[in-house]
Amino acid sequence: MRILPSADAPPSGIVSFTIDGVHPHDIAQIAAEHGVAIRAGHHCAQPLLRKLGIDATARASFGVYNDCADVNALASAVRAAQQLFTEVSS
Amino acid sequence: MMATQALYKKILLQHYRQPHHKCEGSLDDADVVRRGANPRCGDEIEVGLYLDAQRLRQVVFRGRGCSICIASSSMMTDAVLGRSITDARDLCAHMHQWFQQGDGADLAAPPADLQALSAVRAYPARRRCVLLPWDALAEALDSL
Repeated sequence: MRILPSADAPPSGIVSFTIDGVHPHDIAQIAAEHGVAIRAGHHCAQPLLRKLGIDATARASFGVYNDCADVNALASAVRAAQQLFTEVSS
Repeated sequence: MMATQALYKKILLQHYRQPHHKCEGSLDDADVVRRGANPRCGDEIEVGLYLDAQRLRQVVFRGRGCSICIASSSMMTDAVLGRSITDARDLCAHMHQWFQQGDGADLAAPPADLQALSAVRAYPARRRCVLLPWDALAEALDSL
């Protein structure tokens, strides 16, 4: 898994990420089934993604209304996506 | 996650991981090439046709997309290979109708080797993913 904001970037509630072998659309689909709505795609930033060499990303946006349960649900969704697509490739 | 299992059937995931007739190189020698793109997500599929008289001697695709898009592309190439141009056009139209009408429509099911895609009918947001290669194929056939 790759989280796009670099470690030295200012802290933000917006986290773009990719998972090796899992398209962001599929991540978003699985997240939705875990009760988590995230965006997937270009995010209207095609030139930047092209520069980064990335086709698309998943993007989670955290707000003051989110709590640890929401974060855990997203983490579960990421694990489920990794597991689903890893199982098939093995 | 029952819904996930329903959508991501094993056969569909196998086509995603090991797509049939996926080309990594040039399609310059194809008789006709058409590209389908979904600008919202960046998915792009190019479909290349190689003709023998009025039949599809070879059908290949290249590009990038989600699992549904790549699996649909792979299954599509299997399904139309060897068909006449007319038959392939009919199948494109059928698939388009089958997905546009959504789950529960009484349109006849497509050939058995495409029915693993049926779960996508319940996900309107993914219809564009599944139809992207079919739209490119239809455009290629219409150009002949």
